[in-house]
Amino acid sequence: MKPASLAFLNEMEKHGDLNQALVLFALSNANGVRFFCRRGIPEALVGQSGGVWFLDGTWVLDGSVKLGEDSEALLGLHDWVLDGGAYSQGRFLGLNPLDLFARNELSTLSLRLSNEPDAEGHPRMSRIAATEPLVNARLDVRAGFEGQTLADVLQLASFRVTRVVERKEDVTLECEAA
Amino acid sequence: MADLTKQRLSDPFQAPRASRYSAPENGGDALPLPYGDLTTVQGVDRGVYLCPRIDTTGAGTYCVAGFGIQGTVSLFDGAGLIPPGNYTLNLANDFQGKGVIATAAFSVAPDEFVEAICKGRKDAAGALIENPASLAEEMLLNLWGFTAQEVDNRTLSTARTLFSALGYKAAGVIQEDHAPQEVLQGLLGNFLASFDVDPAGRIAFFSSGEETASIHPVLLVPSREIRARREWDLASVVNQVPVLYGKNFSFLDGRMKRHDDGETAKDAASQKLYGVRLPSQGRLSLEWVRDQAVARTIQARVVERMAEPARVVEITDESLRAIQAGEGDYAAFTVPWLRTERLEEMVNQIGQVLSVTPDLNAQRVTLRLRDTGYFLTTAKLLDGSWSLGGGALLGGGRDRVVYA
Repeated sequence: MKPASLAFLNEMEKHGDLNQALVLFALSNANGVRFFCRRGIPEALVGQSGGVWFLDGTWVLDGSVKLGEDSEALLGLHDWVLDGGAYSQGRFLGLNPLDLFARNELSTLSLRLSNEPDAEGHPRMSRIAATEPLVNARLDVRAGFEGQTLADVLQLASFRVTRVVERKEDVTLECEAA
Repeated sequence: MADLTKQRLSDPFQAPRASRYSAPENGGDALPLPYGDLTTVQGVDRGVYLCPRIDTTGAGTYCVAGFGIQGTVSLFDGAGLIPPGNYTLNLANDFQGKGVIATAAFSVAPDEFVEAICKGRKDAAGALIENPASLAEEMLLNLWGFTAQEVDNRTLSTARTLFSALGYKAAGVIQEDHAPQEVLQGLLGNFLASFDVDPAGRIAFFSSGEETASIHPVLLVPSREIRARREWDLASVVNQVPVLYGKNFSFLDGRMKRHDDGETAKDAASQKLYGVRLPSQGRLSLEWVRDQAVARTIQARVVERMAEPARVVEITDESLRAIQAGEGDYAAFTVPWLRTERLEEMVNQIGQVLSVTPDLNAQRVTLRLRDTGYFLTTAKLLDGSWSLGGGALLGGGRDRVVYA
């Protein structure tokens, strides 16, 4: 087991099974990554990675690659999760996300996000859905603790968004295991 | 009227059989009805379709086409290309007084079978009929017995013009019993078109994905009492289309002879976003296509239309006014909380009806609409009341009036 995972388990032990873990949904698409959670997300639990391509004449811009591919732009941290599907409280087989992690099997996931109007009056997820390619985006489910850092965040599962259903009140991302 | 036409379209057409002649080898053999240019794809030393032996006298007479044709014909048997000196062609022969067909009377018996390649039916001006719309018209009027009044000339003409502009050419052989609608669906479907019967009983033609000209919504979906949602589905994305084409119509073969993996017409940007997405059946089988350029045009049109996930809006209308919409119709709808990619409110957006599901018990209709991306527009009357200060479009701006 990775040191980060060990640290996480130690932390879980320290906190007990008191649902102190934050379940983070990291949605990555061609534009960048957005994090969704039920509560406000501490920035220390969010990391960025990737590379930058230098336009030094070695790349052919023929549509086969994207500039800045593999880089990861952080687009937003949002506490808009209404229902995390199997990762929601009360739907766990036990009390904490590690039960699911231990079983390591979830073939599908439905993530329901609030679509309330933003400060400019646009339904916030409709705005994102209209301007970002959400279909086929990668959805990583991670768990972390407040007060901890990125190194302690545990990857639970990865999914691909196969369908997006947008309603006035909410937007549902229907996902399949990646 | 419409029901009668639909009934006739589904009635089986009996292909002409060799039994009409006095001494056929097999009376059950159907006469071949070749259309279009069948010389473009051929096997090694093989023809494209089988010719029945309609007279066993001497070395035999074979039917090359069930109607009169013109131009060069090549015949093949089990040994390959048959020397032209071994037979006499008569391309417009009222054989045994049973109607004009194309025949080959052999002086030397062929080996096992006879297959042919040729160019099919020509129009009154002597031009080969290969535009898919013209071919559909030819079969409707001269094969299946529909009248000119039963064909919607406006949509036929539109389809013909479009197909011509796209360089579409159709070719194939009919040699079995069939319902006209099956052949029409196969023929038009190969070229991304379809047909329907209008209320007056006329057969109308539609070409999907052509929204560059003006769109005329037939319905304004009431906006006050609707519930709406929008979907994007990965399954709707197709960014590469492998195709099989160049069918050999001989009963001894029956295989598609050409394949294109769609690499040339793929959308690389879409593949980067959504992965390689092929049609649900893996590849398209284009029985009426024999030309590589045509196959690639079809691939490109499918990819152009489906490289992005379809935006499908589902509207539940409790006023029941939407019940008048039909599949394929355009309808204007307003769902102010939805946003376009330019973050405009979706007012007077135009969608194409994918399905209409009435529920009369619950007194509502559910419409599924494909968002075309187009919308009702305004035009300003230049009556002196407008200041051309750059603040508005003279025409083409979104009509933001909610009408219902």
